[in-house]
Amino acid sequence: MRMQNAALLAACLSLLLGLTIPARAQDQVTITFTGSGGVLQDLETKYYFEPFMKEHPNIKILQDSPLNYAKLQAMVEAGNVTWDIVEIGPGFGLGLQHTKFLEKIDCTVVPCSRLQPDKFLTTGYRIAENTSAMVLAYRTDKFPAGKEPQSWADFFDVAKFPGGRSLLKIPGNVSSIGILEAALLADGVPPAQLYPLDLKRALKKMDTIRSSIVWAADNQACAEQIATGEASMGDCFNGRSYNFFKSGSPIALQWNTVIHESGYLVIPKGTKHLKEAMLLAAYIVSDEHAAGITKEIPYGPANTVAAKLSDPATAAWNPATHQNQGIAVNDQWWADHSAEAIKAWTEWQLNG
Amino acid sequence: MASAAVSTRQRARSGADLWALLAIPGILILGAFFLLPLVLMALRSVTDPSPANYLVLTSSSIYVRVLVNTFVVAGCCTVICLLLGYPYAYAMHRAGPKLAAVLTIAIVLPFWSSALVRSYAWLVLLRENGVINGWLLSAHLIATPFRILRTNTAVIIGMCHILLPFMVFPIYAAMRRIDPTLLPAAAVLGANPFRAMRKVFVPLSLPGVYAGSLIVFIVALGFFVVPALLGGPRSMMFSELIVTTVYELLEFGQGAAMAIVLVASALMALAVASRFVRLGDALNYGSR
Repeated sequence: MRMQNAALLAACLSLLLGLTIPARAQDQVTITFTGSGGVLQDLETKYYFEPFMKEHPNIKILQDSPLNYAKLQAMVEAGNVTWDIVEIGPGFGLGLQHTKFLEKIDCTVVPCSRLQPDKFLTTGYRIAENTSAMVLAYRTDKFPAGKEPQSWADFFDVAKFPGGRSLLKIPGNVSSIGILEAALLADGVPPAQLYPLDLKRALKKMDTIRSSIVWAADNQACAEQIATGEASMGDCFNGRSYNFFKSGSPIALQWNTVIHESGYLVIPKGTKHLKEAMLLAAYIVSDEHAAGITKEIPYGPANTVAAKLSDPATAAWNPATHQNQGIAVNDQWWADHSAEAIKAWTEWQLNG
Repeated sequence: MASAAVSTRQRARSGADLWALLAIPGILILGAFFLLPLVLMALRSVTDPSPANYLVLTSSSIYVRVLVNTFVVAGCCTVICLLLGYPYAYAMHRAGPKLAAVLTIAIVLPFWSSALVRSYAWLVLLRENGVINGWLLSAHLIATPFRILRTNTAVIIGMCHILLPFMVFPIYAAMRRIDPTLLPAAAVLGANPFRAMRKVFVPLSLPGVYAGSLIVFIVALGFFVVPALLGGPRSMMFSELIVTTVYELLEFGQGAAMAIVLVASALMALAVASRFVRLGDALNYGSR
């Protein structure tokens, strides 16, 4: 009898405990960050998410990848938003066709005014997070100092600078932004008159290197093909080239050719954790924390105050160090003309 | 006597009907998660924003060219898988139990690793300074490295690697159903082994050939990962174009229209094929 009572008590206690655990968990908020994966997201975990969770023990950050605009749009349309904060590229988040899927950024929480508004278009709906760049990368054993390519014109001069040209294949914005600008610059268009892009002229210039192109299936492959020697030059993201430089490949960048881009944060419309997502966004671009990832990857913070804290170890490879060189991508032009440009670019890719 | 036989058969049939009820969960799942989305997608292709979605496909030559390339690649994969798969299935069929087990494992094992991993492996093997070119160069068999990567050839190699089991198993199943006494019977009646094979064995294995070819062809039409990794822009397949339309251009209606066009042209191709071979056999090769 006594044993039975004890068992009953234990059962009641465990039931009580069982009830109290979910009650406590209700204070706990879980938000989901979605990026493009890879090394960048690993470093963001290390330098942003983990310290953020330490400061805010009630907020847990889950992660997803890859980023997919169609999925974002579909979850907002369906009213079932499972991504709370999303890292995007330059061609998204401008104009009503995109902003109707996004929450307005609260500039009382996020330090909007410090995010280089002159260089990187920060609309009411996206936050400039970091700077990246498409830069001419070349093999230093093929083209030693003094004989290295100096401009996009050299990139397009296969006779003087022989070897394969590593370019992104992926149909769409990722592969077309940057290389079309490069083709026009190589063809002699002054940087100030680059936009609106003359697609016909750009593609005609592209014809001149068609047989030398070594198509890369993704961003990593773009730099990898230079590292393995399949290509002698490429138009790849600076961070990817840096990874191979760091692991000992004879690869260097010609910063005269830099085409500046930016990564942004957005918050999908209808998120159930707007407050927490905004807090995390503010943390990522804050003066104190934004520069953290520059210890290991040369993507500089868009926050001008934080930019001064960028790590010198990656400074030479960081586009922020080369702000006075090259050109910046005109995000607005790309947002308005993506469909037309992607179609022309895809047609050109297929017409070989 | 006759009536008893009939009643037995009737009982057998009504028993079969009851067993068919077990298919209901499968039918419900297919209806809810396959048929319904297909109908919704067809609707979206004419309502988001209008049926003009289909006109977009005529606005540029890329759509037709990619569609044609998709069918060419799928067709090549089907033929190559058949040429490789039929003798393989025959070897599995004729081998002793131990060798048959080894052959089965050899074809199933790669099936367990992802298409992505296998495509990356081909990438390493096939590239210009890759493993195969390295061997051929060092053995002085070739003077300059050959370019296979980023062509249809690379795509077809990668796809056949993945699709081969889909061809082998239906053919093997069909061969196992063939009465083993038929070949000796043909020999007794004076047929030499080649003739017995051609007139008896091969025709009886055809339902498996049709089933395997059908599966390989249909699955090949929708391939995405392999052409994305191993192909160049010119070896683009239709699913890559659909992905660009939906992911990059966010034109859901247009993407839906393209998917419907792919399904419709696949059905049309099968309708044409069924005029030449009895594709229907593929559907009931189990009920001999």
